[in-house]
Amino acid sequence: MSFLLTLAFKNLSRHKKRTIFTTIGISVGIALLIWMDGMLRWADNESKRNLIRYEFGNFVLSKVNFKLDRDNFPLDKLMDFSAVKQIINKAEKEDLFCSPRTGFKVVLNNKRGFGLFYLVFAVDPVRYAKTLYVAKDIVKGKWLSEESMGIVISKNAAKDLDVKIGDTITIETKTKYGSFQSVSVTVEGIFDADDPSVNRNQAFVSYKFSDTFFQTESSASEIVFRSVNEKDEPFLSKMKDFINSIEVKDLVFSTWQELGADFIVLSKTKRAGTKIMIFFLFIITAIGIINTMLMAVFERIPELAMMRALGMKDNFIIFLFLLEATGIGFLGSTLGLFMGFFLNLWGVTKGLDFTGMVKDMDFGYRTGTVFYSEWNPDTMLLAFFFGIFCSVIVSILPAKKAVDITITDALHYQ
Amino acid sequence: MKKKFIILTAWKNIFRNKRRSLLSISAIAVAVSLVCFMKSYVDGLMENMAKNIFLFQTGHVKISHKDYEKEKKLMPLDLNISGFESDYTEIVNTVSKMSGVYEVLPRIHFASFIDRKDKLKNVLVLALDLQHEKSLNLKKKIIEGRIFEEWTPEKSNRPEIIICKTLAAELGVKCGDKVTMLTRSAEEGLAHMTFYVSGIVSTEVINIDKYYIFMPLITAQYFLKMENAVLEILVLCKTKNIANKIAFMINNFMNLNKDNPYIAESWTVQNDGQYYKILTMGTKIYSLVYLVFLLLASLVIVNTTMMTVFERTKEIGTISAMGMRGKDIILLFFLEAVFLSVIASFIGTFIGGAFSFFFSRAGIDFATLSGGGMDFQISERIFTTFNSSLLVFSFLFGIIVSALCSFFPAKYAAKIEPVIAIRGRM
Repeated sequence: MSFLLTLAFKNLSRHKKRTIFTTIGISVGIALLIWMDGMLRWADNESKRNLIRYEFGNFVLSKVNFKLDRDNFPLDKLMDFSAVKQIINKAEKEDLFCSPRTGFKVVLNNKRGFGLFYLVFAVDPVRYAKTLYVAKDIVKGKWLSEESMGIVISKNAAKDLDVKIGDTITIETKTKYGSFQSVSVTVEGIFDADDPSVNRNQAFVSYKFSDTFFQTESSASEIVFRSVNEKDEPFLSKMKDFINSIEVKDLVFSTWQELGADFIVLSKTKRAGTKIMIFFLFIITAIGIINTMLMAVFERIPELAMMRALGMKDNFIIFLFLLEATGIGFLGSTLGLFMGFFLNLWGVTKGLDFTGMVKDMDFGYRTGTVFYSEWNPDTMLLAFFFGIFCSVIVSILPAKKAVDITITDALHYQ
Repeated sequence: MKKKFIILTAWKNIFRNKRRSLLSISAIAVAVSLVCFMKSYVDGLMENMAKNIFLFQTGHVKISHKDYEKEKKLMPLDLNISGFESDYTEIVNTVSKMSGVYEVLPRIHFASFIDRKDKLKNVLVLALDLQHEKSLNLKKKIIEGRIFEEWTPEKSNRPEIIICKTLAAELGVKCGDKVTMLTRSAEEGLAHMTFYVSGIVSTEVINIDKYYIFMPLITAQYFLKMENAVLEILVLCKTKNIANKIAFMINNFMNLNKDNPYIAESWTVQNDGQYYKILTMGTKIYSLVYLVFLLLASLVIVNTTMMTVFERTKEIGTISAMGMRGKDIILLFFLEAVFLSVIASFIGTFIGGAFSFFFSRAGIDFATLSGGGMDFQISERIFTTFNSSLLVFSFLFGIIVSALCSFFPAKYAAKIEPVIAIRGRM
């Protein structure tokens, strides 16, 4: 056995250039695999984190018919204040962060033009800051307080409307009872959330403001829940039990997966794309390895014949070549692992910056325009063994070729 | 004579190991057909996107107020085009007469609320003059009802609009229904008006069908208090490549007037054109993908040629001992590979072309394929392109790449020393 091992190793070093080329082929494939996987995983997880932290929490409670028509944020399907209060009290005992909010489709306007379509949420400022992350991302001014009569807008809106903290903008919308309302409001804070969708769509006022101008009477269109550890279960089932036990009818939970459905579809498509990519990488490397092994076999036909004539069994010869292939696979995979590691390191710390290219285009991912990467030890390990395994598998056929020829012919093969 | 002999031998050699030849042929044929179909799909996609962007957003050249682009998101209607002396038509008329200009489209593009059943729905309205809009061909795209009639306060008919199908479904409106629109006029006052829906239209562009309403230009001018003015004038040229030249000509003409407040910009410098530009650059990467595909397949032919060279070492020894020169031996093996790649490319082009042809008629359902959710101006149904240049490209590309690859193993054959080779295997 140790003889075979040394022989296989020696054989590998016979044609250094060829071995190096094949090794590089494998390693580039593996490094790319690791890096791409890290990047896609980051985009996926970051999007999920952002959906939970900025948009929906782990789950959202609303009236059934509100959920059916959520795109329009209908104001005649709200939960009234007493129900909201009851639910919040219970949830806070269950270790859940929760906050009511009421959405209004509005136009934000600063003196000129038609203005911008936005979604204004009337929120309970203290609870909302605990439940979702927007309040943490204030870059100018400050987050709302319970008494505040101002508005907090995104940096996108601030730029488009050309306003600073303290400037006045106009909100135009319909109130809960259907009359048209146009209110001037002072910009109190400007946020820059990690989730681009929130930056593009949302603005916030306090319930005090909406009660005064939009006749909301502290009723809420939804209650957003986020658990401490950001896991859906078992909190979801606990809350469901509770909701069943109280008087308020027609309530329904929606998970962030349901509400962020557009992203989930996208994420699935992307995953299919990765599989195709892996397949192609596999083919490229496989052909490289097959070529190398074939060359090695043809080159050594006479010496193999001699060994066979001296009594070495055919299986041993096949085994010898497979050992050689394992060697190539091992070298390639190790190199690939290192390269992948450093590519990923760069991805995790620096990231790829697409800011100039995509501007504010919507790709469905809830990530910023700098694409980072995430550590993926499982993929690294898998890619490492995959590299070795593949090079062995594809070498079986060339190795069999080596024992195809009869010994006498092979002996005087040029 | 000798050339003919080599060609004939090379041809015959293909059939010596039929299975192997078949393998190389099928590998390359598959790659070529893939390249052919992918190219036709990507070209079709880009063509579709270009058509939609040019028709709805940028034109080849867009004339607008100099300051409009800066505040575009707010849609200020006071930054409009009202002409130099009388009205906007003087610009339209002059530009239509320029050579290379195909169509001139005066339009008003504004945002509005629709207040219906206690819901507030934001919509975008495109007001256009049917006399000018030939490329858009709105009449043909109506799936229910009829096209709108123009309304002015002097006429006795009702103000009419047509609504895109997805939006109509969301609003729950049918032909003959009334909708009330609310917007801000060019004089910054609130403007209210009730319109009758005369028809439902499907532009087949996902993003347009979701948000848009079409309205006669003259009606919009009254509604928005901007008589004799339009917001933008799109210019479609005979080809998109002359857009810069036309924009330059229009600017020259407009600059004849002192304090010209308008500007003509070709699609290449407009913000909305940038996405398309980036994507076209992105598709150049596909050329690389095509090359990789074919190189992969060519590795099979390289392998085959290598195998034949090894197998025929003894023959090579014999013929070179009999006086055939190295370069003829190279030619012999090279030609064999070329024949293989010609056959393969032909088959591949045929298969790929057949698929492209089929989908250029039937179309591919892009909406379900992509899962939606993307912010592009792409139609629901993509038609692949099918033309002679696609076929020629795939055919030649296949031959050239695979033939070039097989040159190296062929060269190897000539290096074999006759004395050693003649003792070769078998």
